[in-house]
Amino acid sequence: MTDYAHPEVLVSTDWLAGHLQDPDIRILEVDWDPASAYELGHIPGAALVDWKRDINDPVRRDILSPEQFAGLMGRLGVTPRTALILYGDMRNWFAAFAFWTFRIHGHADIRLLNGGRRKWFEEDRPVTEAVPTFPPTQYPLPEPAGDLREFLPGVRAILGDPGHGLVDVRSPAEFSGAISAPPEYQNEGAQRAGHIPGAVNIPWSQAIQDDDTFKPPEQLRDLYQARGVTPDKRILTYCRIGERSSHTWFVLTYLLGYPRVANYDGSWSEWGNAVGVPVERAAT
Amino acid sequence: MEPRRLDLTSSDDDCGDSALGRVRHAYASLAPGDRLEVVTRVAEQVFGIRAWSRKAGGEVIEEDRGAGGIRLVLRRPPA
Repeated sequence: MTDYAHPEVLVSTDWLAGHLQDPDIRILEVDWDPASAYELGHIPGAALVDWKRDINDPVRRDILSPEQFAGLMGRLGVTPRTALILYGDMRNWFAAFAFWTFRIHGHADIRLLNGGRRKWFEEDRPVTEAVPTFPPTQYPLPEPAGDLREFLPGVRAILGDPGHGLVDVRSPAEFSGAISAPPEYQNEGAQRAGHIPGAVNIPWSQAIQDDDTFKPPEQLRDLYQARGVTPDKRILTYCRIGERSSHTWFVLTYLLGYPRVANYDGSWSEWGNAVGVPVERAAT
Repeated sequence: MEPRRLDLTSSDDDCGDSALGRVRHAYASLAPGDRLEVVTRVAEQVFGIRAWSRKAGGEVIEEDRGAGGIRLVLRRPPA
């Protein structure tokens, strides 16, 4: 079996269990809903990163700014040399979003816990409610990398371009236009349901196994290449708010080594509300 | 009276409410003394349901494991 293109970005639950006291790493649980996850129990030594509060600008819709990122890293006692070990609720979607965001802001050593919370709990490993504190640091202001992210005008510009591939990682029901968002997420709804023309639907979950660890590289390669998502193209991933698509961005970039992958985090909650953009729907 | 039933084993591909969020909503609709039966295959969810229930003042009165998954029964305390 061949290995992933960048195996260094994954850690196993076994590895993490042996490094809980490692001073060179910082374990971060990235949650959409901390009250349902981190606050009930988390990996010993893990600090909370609240996706809504810490990863997003509190006013406008955007990821955190370079200044906010430096402030967050400083509060977590992180230096540019610290290895960040990310995992989180909702099957690592928001941990993958944090990975993508922190990479945009240039942090070098970021790793994802393969299997995430589910695997850790499934293996009956230790958990705690204790919240760690760390001496704050002065994290230098980063220079953001722009090529990992795409915006609506950039997506619109590549429609029909055979040198690009669009991967819609939402459920088949969302892709077809049967639903735009579940009723409990009213602020993620859209005026129109469907998908961006030319997109292929490869739900994020097809990249993982029953225990939430990633599929082997051969299976991942077959999954995406069979649908025309090949490394010679520039690939754009999207979902509804950009978190599930971060998971697929991670797979394509680090596990398969595709050289040009960007996440369109505006995703369907932007495209499906935009005036005048083309939309495809399944025939009814 | 039969407990209300909540099946958490279905797909979460469409990014809906979290498993525990669904449990909280279902539990909130129970009258005092009523029961909620939850079925899951995920140990993390069992942990979360137990921990949340403890904090919320509820009770997990049954837990058993079978081929179909893990079955928990919660009871809202009598008034």
